Amino acid sequence: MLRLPRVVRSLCAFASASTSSCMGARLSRPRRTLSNSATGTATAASVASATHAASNTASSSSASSRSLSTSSTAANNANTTNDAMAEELRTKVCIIGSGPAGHTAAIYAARAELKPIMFEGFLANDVAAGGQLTTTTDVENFPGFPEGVLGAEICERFRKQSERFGTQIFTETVTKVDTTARPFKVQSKDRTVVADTIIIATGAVAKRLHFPGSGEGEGGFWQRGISACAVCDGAAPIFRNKPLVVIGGGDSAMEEATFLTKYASKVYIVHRRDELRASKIMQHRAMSNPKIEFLYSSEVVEAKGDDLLRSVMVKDKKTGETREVEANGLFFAIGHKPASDFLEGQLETDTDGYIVTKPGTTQTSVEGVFAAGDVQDKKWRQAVTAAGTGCMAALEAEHYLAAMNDQ
Amino acid sequence: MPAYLKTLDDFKKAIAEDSVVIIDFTASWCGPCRMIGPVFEKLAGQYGTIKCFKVDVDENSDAAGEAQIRAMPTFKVYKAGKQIDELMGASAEKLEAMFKKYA
Repeated sequence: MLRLPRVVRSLCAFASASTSSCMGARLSRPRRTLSNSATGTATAASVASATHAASNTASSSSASSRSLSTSSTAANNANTTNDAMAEELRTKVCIIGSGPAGHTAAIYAARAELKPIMFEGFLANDVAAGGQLTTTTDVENFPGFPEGVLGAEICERFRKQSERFGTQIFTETVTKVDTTARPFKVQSKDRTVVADTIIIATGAVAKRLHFPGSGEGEGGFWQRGISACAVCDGAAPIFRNKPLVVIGGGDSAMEEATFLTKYASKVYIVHRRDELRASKIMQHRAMSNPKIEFLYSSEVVEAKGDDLLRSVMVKDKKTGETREVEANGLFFAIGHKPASDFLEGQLETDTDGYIVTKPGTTQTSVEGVFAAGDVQDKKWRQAVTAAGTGCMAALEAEHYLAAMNDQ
Repeated sequence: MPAYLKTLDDFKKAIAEDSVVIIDFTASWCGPCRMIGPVFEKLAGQYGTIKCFKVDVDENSDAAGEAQIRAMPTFKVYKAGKQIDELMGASAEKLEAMFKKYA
């Protein structure tokens, strides 16, 4: 068990479209936690095995006595060739995505002996396989871990559990899905999977703004004061009793700003318009908080500092004037973008791109295609709620397949 | 398999070579680092003329500091003790292009 040094590092960054990287900060490391704890110890993330090559392991079957796998078994080749020619595989369940939703779906589907195939993604949307949890350090609110667990480690555990029951995992990013004909087709650069059902669990990515100082690398303060998750990072020591800025005008922005006042000396809410989008109750809550100051019709145009963020330049859109505001933290609360673009409109999505599911289910507008986790959840967006919907999706896929069999 | 350089001395010795050396500055908790690791290893195996090493920025923070690493992963190219190129971020295409360039 490795103790990470006290002179700590910051989190992995959500990258811009062209790079995936993690910032290294000299000072305190933001912690994804809702509590005030500052234990300073951490288990080292177990380094993933060198090859993520799909293992065609026979499912170490549980005592399940179901016999759902009938005639068309997955044509999994024991010798997967590395030809660029698209290799075609057949399965009852294809899972796209590798966060808590994807892996919970995989575990349930594998234990139902459906021999699921998962595409875990290779830096899909510039995020490592495992999803948003890989970009955080301590996870303290996922049940089952009284000491907390490193994000990368819990993802590794999800993966091991999926593999244990026979999930075949490809470290590839899905490039194309075809749900216009049955069975469905899911393609990556290296192979095509023909599937009776698909579970979409591709997650969502926090939106960011881009201006000088907002990026990673030299001169950028991403993860050195700039973050997209106040709930995750707000309790970090670097933000205690310091002035902070939240950009946004919706409920999230109000909630996060209010949350941050627990730690900050002052919180500015910077919004590009005069009117907030947030619900009245959230607006009132924020407005009646003595630590919150609203900067309307304003936008942050630059982030400045040295080792860490020290100030931001805020421009008044009406007067054109720019002034420097001392800030040691800047949080984007401008929404999430679900990773549904790759579906090219084949499933019904709402105006924000979230896959629409029938209430109380993971069923999408296409029969046999299910959606779980943040890609369909605008409201809760937690690892444990994603796991819950992943389970639902697998069970619904199983029921659907059984019904198909009965015909 | 690229070996880890554990100390500042190891690092200085490794980059002093006349031949091209590429170092992967990586961190165990960094998702993109873990994804690009196998790619780096594969390229290291393919391009025999380039000597490859890894530095874990937490375990060998002296070397990471000497190399002024601020983001992980960072790939740095050295020749005769001098840095001649670098790549920040986990891009398989750009990494392969860099190997091709210095092969």
